[in-house]
Amino acid sequence: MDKSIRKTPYLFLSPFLLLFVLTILIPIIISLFFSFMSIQGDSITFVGLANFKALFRDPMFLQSYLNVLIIMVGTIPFIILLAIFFAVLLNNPTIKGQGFFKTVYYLPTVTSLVAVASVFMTFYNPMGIINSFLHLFGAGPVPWLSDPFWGRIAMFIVIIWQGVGYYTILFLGGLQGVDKEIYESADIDGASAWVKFFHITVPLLKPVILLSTVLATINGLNTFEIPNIMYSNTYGPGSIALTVGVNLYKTSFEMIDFGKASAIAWSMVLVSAILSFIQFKVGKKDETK
Amino acid sequence: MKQNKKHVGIYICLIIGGILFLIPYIYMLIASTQNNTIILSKTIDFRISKYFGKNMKYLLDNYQYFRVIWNSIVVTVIGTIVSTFVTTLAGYTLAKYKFVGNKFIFSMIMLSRMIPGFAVLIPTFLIFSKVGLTNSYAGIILPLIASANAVFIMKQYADSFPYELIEAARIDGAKEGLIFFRIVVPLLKPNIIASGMLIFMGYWNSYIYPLVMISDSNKFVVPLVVRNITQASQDDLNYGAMMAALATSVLPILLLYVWVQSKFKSTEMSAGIK
Repeated sequence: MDKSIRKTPYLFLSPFLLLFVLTILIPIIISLFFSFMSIQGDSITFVGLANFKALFRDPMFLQSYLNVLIIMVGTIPFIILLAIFFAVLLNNPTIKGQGFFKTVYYLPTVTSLVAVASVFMTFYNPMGIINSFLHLFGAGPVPWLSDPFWGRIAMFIVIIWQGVGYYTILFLGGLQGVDKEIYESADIDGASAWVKFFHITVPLLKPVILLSTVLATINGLNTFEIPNIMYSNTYGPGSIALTVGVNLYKTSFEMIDFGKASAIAWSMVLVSAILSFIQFKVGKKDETK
Repeated sequence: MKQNKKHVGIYICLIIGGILFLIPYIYMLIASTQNNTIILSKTIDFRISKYFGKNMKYLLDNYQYFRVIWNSIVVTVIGTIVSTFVTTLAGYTLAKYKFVGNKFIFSMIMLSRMIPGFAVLIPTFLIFSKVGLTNSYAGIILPLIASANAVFIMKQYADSFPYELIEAARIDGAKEGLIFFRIVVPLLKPNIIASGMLIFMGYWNSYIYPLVMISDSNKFVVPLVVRNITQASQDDLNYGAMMAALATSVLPILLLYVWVQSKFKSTEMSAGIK
């Protein structure tokens, strides 16, 4: 290879790398550095692990992790089950309009979370269409946005609505990699649809289920726009809208405590790293089986 | 016959799903023509009303809405072009060149995907305010350009690009830049467009960077206007105007997205996902 070709990759990579280093790598390193600092205006002092120690005694911090945990438990099983359900339905070559349904289901994935949250906020108004609908059956009115319990349900519904389509497409990709012959031989053996689903589809989808669960968990950890918009930048009734992301945003940009906020950010990095590590380990174990 | 019955069940489920996914969009459109009295009535009223003009006027008078749309367009178009270009070039290079550091650079990019964006946000904000990039288009364009996700997607696509084509062009004496622009780009066009569309939507929908970078209402983008409307007190919250902002900012962009997707059929939405 001549000299110019050897230089080419570095030249081609340089615009991306320059921006990657300046806008991603350096900020990540600085934020790690900040998490060990106390920052007051322009004075920065090293405080060691003090920020992290303070977080573990901070009821807001603990509440924020509890809240995202509740969000994950309340949404991920439904997202995964509904996504598998729709993917199995769509994975039928004789179905007409498959492309149309795929597009429609995928729309929420590419829709602004701010838009999604504000439409649902309107739906959830005490006089909004959901309560009007319930009224037709003599039910309600449900205090969607003002009661801690219903407020959580309200957030779950939005997050599930927004999330299902993405994972449907993900599972559909997984299903389309499955050999049709397995189903055909199961048909010959007279297996019922349920048997086929639980004994063929689910085991074959296991890697995708694992990946989806980890992705949805990391997504749940980063929940910000939906609670922030639906509860108008407050913590919501019973602090249910206090997610880790909301806590970080308010700590840094309203309380202007960048040291503490960076420690919150790095708590998220650690949790994400642990989750990705679990996915990697479990995924590997599956492969070697 | 049995097959047909089974299909009816499938269609019913798919259609119910479709309706549930579409209702918020249909509602945006209808409610953008209504006022608070209709939106917040005890009955479900899905009829087109006559307040669209009034709602738009509210947006223009209170939020300089045309200017805001223009800001969103400028940020999205510039950001998409630059980001698609640098990430395509990077993905192609990582896929098709052997060089010292290739593996290392790729692992760094992959590793950065696992780091929540919140970890990048605070230092970026502080650096940008020190160098005067807050309240500028650059302040919201720059942080999203180096998309690790887009590089990963483009590397996946470029991996399957036939190496023989590149070799043949080299033997013919083509320069590396020419190979990229004249051979790789045209052949990967549907994939570049698929990746570019995701970048495009990412810019159009971006919220957290505008939220922290922009305080000057002359530089607002659409999500900030929607946010500000939702933050009004319950009595002042103009739902009709909010829906007008959504109907005019969300629906056209989604239609554009669907149109581009259908025009380039080979673009598989799931192909880029891990």
